[in-house]
Amino acid sequence: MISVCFYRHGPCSHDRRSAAPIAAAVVRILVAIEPQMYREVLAFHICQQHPRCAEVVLASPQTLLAEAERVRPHLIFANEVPVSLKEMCFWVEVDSSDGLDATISANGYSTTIHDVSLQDLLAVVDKTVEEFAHGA
Amino acid sequence: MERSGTTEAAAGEKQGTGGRGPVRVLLADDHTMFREGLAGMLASSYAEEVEVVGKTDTGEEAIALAQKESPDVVIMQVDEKLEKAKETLSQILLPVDSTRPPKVIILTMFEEPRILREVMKLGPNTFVHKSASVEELLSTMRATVGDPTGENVVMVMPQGALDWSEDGAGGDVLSKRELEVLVLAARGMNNRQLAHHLDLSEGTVKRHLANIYPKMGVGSRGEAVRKALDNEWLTIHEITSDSGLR
Repeated sequence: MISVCFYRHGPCSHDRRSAAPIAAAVVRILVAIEPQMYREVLAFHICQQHPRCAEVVLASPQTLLAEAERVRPHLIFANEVPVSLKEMCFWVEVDSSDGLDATISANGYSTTIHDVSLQDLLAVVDKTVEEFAHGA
Repeated sequence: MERSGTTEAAAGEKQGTGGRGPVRVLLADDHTMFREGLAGMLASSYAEEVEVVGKTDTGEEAIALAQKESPDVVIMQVDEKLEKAKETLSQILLPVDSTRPPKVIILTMFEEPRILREVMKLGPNTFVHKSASVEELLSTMRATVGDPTGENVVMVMPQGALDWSEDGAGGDVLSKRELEVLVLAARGMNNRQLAHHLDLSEGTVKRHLANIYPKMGVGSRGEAVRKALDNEWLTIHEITSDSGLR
């Protein structure tokens, strides 16, 4: 299936394909969860919540590593975050196999939430923005 | 869809569509992040087109909300609890007080033809895999709502996810051209579009369709598509892919 992600009113800085490096003036967030509908919905709300200070990049699990190398994210949302990336940034692993559970690791804090809500995930974004927005 | 959970019916007066006002949608999905997020996204970016009149994570509440709010469309997740989903669907699709039942869009992460066929038998004509985009979900909703007869089957499935069946040609019953016409009809094309696509006259397309129905023992293109899928003469791959035609 080929699909192009776009929103009627446009996301903040929403980049899927550009090979150009992402500017380092904002907090960079890589959203690579499956299925696609979930990552679009999450990215939309991150952009709404932080239109000026969050750069959101969508990736598939297959392109996660390459996009992480290009984007150098402060926060990653993925179904499985590779170990090498876990050491570099805040991360959230979302498991949709039974309910929707999320394991969150941010700034030394770690927890698992069953049936994670949008607010739970946006709280991680808030935390990341607090931590990195001015020093990015 | 089995856990007890929240019911959040939107305030506001009911308004039918009939080409006026937004499509009134009920969301039934047990993934809270997705349900909340999609509802918020629709309210924020598609408010002129869609009004979310309720959202729930359980089948029981979906039935209750469907009866209370009379939505135009129910977007409903179907997962491995197939029997539960079938029970919910049959209740939602029951006409109440001479009100037309809502159109149902099945959202799923499954790709198995058997599951789709079982659900299709209950009446839903629209299936969207969650690997589709939100825009594709909206496109299928437009196609479903815009089809007054409910005869078309609309699907967005990953390309190649549903394999061809071994005897999928249906060649003993339909000619190659008739199968082509059926595939294009399954994609939602009307007679004029079919004629244009196949470089035929509309009259010829009508004739092909008129030949197809009695050969298959059906009375409409919707029935024809369903039967072709049931018998695996057509595959989802053929319907969703551009390959294999012409």
